[in-house]
Amino acid sequence: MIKKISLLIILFIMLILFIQMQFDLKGYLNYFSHEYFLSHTYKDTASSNIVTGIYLDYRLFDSIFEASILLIVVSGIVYMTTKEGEENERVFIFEKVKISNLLTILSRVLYPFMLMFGVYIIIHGHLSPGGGFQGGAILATAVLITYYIDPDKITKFSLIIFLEKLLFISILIISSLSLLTKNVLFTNFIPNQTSNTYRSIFLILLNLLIGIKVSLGLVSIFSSFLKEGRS
Amino acid sequence: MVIIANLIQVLLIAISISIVFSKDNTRVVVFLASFSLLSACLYFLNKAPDVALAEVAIGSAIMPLFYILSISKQREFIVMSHVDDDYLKNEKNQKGKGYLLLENFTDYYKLKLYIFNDAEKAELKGIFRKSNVDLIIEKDESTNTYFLIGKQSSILMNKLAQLVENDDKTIVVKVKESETRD
Amino acid sequence: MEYIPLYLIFIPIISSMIIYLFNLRIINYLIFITQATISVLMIKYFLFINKNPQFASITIGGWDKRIGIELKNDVYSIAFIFLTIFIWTIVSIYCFDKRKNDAKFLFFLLFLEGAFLALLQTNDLFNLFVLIEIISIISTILIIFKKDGFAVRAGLYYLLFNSIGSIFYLLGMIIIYNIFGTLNIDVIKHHIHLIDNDLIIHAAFILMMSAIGVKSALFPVFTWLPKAHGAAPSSISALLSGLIVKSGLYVMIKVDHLFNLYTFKEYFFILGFFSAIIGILFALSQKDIKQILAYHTISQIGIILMGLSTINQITFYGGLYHIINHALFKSLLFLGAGMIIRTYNIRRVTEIRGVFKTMPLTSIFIIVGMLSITGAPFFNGFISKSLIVHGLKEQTFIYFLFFIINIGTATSFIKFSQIFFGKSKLKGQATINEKIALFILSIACITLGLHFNYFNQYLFHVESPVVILDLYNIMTYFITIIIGFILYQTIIKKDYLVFKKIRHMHITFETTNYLLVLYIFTMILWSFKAL
Repeated sequence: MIKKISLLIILFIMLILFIQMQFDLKGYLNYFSHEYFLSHTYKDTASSNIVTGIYLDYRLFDSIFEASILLIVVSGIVYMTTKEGEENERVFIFEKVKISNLLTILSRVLYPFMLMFGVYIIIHGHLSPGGGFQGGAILATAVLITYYIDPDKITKFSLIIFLEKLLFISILIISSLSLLTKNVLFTNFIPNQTSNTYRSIFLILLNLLIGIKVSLGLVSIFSSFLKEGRS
Repeated sequence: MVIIANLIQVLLIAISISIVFSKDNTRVVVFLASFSLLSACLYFLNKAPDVALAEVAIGSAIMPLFYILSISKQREFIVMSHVDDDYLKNEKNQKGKGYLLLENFTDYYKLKLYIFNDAEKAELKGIFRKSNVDLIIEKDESTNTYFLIGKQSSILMNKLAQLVENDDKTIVVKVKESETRD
Repeated sequence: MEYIPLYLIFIPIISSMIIYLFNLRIINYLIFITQATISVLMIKYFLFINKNPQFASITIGGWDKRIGIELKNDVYSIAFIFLTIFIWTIVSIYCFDKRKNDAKFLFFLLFLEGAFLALLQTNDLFNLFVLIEIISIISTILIIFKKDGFAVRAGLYYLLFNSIGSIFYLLGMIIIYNIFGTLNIDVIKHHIHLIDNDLIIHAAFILMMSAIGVKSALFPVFTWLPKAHGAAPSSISALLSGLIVKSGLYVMIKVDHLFNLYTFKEYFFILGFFSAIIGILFALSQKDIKQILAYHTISQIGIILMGLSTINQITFYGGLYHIINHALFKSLLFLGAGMIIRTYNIRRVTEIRGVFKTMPLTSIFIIVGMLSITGAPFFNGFISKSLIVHGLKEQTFIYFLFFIINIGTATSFIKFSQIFFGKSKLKGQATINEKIALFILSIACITLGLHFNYFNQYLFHVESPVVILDLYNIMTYFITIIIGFILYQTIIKKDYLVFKKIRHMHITFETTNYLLVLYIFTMILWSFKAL
């Protein structure tokens, strides 16, 4: 009881100090990077969406590590949920779960639209809000809705994990192609003089690779969860 | 516009307090999904549409799916039986003695019971590492007693042992899992 | 030539992916080729930097320094990179026998090396955050590698608590980004004295320091360390105790240089002292080998913190040097403990007997490790402890407390050494790989103890006072050992009820969160005292 009361008092004092600091902060705001990004992004990176320009050109190094976090999490989960023993020794229990007909029919109708929406957000990442990570998540939900249509479909995934690592290596290779053309690493490899439509090929390519990689990762997490309890 | 943003923030605080104080897992998952949706609205009102897209897709659609999947797997209780008489029969008018016992046990903990018969007896050593069973039922033909074999580290076994205290035809055996040393 | 920092980061990552994709036994030998390549590249880069220092920092992508990410190599990071590559080579030699066919283990191990080398070189606040998160996740997966109940619980506790700590770092970084408009550490360092509002700067500092406290297991928030280091496989325990915990201290050095606040130095000195004492107290009451060594890590980190948070230059270099020495002898002890556990199949110190007769070579190496950690002359622990004590000689009270910590360490290792006596019927199973690994580590310990001046000048570019091997120091060491022996025979051997209670004390997750909140609150109170 004493712990809870003292905890509440301490947290309340910390909240008051935090709010006081917020009010003080308003006098010290610095808009240097704000103005820099607004004025230079379209010329430097050929993308109208500033956020895409930042994470695909100015800070590509960070995005590579963020993509690798997803890769490691997927490998870790796949390792943790596989049990020892041979694959064909186990008996799989597939119970007959009754999924309602309404859900199945609606999923069949919605599935192509969700796929198209996901691919739209990935490809138009440099022109409107969106991009690789967001579109990848939407694409993953589109693939996961097929679980309602046919429960046995998402259970083989050794090919998916292999593809994911291949995609990560190809992201690395495409990012470092700029060493040959511009003599710096991790930026756009098409030279600065060509028109913006050609320079955005780099952005579309990277967005596609990241999007497919993210969706494959999420689908393999889901199917390893499904497969774990079934032996 | 500012009023809507402030209202959403107050609602977020209320939802997080109810997440902390609720006891049922399914309710917590629904609250988490609504928390994610409201914070995505807040991101959009603060002029950050990219973040709002990512938050909606992941926090409201994919994460509750994973949570519900793992909660439903936690609720299953899988029994593998090596006996082939009517100890575990599940028919309309007569249920076997073992089936009544297991039903009583799983109703107490609100689990779902799955029984399946394994004709050829699989190797028992280290089976809790290889497959996902929770309980194995065997029968000793000479003395006509039933053995219920489970993991020693599981706390559900204590309740099961308490339920079969009076019956000397049924014995609960706790097996220590084969742990690796280093 | 100037892109070698990036090659150092990406060569381990790419080779780890090749190992995982092919899954063949022949390809697993790629790990040794990787380590050899990295060492050669690092030596070439070191000689190159010494001649032209203007290439020490590169901005990735060729953008402006305030907008892009910068990698910088200064004196500290070069020393740490050499240490990292050395310890990773030794760990991979040690565990290669058992994990020859295990492509997943080598994948995670090499990826961790790439991420760690990136952490040591980056000069950007947000990049530091992403790399801290990657290291937490990979360490969790490696802790859970054995897949039994104790390991899974310890690994998930570690992940949960470290994620809570990282959130505070993000909050502090957001405040700094709002004030300065850039995330580059050098640019912020130039402009930070222009801000005159103390509340904001202290708030950012406190939030970042709470995250660093969780990562490097300081006094109130250290409870994740014994569980995690006791449950992991032995080679991973050596890596965690030797290097990953030190990454928190490295980030602390960087953040300290960034903020340059004078008021908090005394606070961290006291905190380091409490860490050291509590670590020794817990270590004296444990019986499991790995838990004893894990609690000793906590107390040695307390000593390092006492060294790093003073203004005296010599003490600061003593603390820095102790980081390197601790990595070496703690890995030696953990690897040796792993071999003992594999032969005897039990983990309690009171039941293992006869190690000296069963595995004579291994016991000699473990004795070298024990002499180093207690600070015997001619070994490397002596050098760093004398350097730390050198600046404290004026304040006799603190010197006396330091003496007590040394006595505690000596007592605990005399208790540890009871495994050497007696007889045992088992045959020692130690492969050639493991013996070679331990042998190289012991040679490194002894070399650093004897020739530290050479290393100081060449690596750190500093002239340190010669630590004289005079009679006073040797007498101090022997008195420490004798008092420790007496303490062990009278008090510790009887195993009083107090020690039993401490051994079985179980701190719940709720209590650790409460301790984290208390830790932040005491820092806030301390900053008010200084205002």
